[in-house]
Amino acid sequence: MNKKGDEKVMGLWWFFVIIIITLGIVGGVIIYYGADVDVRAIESRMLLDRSYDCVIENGFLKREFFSSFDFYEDCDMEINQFNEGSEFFVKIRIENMSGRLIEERKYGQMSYEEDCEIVEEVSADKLAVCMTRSFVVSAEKGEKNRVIITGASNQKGRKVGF
Amino acid sequence: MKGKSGLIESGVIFIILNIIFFILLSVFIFNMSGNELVYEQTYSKQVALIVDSAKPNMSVSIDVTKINEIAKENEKNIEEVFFVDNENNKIIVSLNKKGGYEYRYFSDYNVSLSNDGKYLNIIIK
Repeated sequence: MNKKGDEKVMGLWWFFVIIIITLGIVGGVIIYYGADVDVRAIESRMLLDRSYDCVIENGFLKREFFSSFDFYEDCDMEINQFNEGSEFFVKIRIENMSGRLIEERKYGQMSYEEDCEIVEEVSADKLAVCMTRSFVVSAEKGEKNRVIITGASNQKGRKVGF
Repeated sequence: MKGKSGLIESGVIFIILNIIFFILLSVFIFNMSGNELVYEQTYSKQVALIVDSAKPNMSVSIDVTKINEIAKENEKNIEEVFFVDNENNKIIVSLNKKGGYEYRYFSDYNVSLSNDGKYLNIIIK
């Protein structure tokens, strides 16, 4: 019997098994503990709710929306978080019941508007997470309008060094 | 030719190498399971979401016993675990002296945080 040869083969085989086990365990642990806590959907919902609260009051669109409305001031939003490079987006669209556009306002990262259209069709993890809701509100002279609010966030947070 | 002592020697080396390997693997898993990044990330996001869902003049307290224990193990002062940057709207949570995890809130609020060892008090103005 060739004992030396057997030992060599067993040594190589064991080395191979060890590598496979290591890769499996290390990979699994990294994937499990390195997973992101994704709160973008909650954040999008918050943007939507906060926008709703400052635009609609008792089922009516706030009168000042068409005149002195200041999204940042009236909704307590930090303007610097909606500047260039922002990770947030809000769109408030007012239309009549037949779908004719009356007014549209957008704030934050404009490219997320397209992201929202894309993620409606396909799943794309890297794109912003969007939340859109439609509300029917009373307007003047007994008319009804539709308010469509979209909130989107693509904030993932980051590790920082001191 | 390899003698009896040579065979025992290589067998012992083989066992020692295996033991070293499994110790290293166990240390890696132990370190990862107590991963500070997970806690830093979770708490920074939680605090930022609380801020964004709050209304002005609200005060919210959350239990931070677990994260304070980790900070103590790392010899980190618990008063320095949670930090708010009102200029840039950031909540930073740090469990070591090297760095931490930051998450932004979009509300134009003045936020202050105080960690009493058990609860983190979030005061929003």
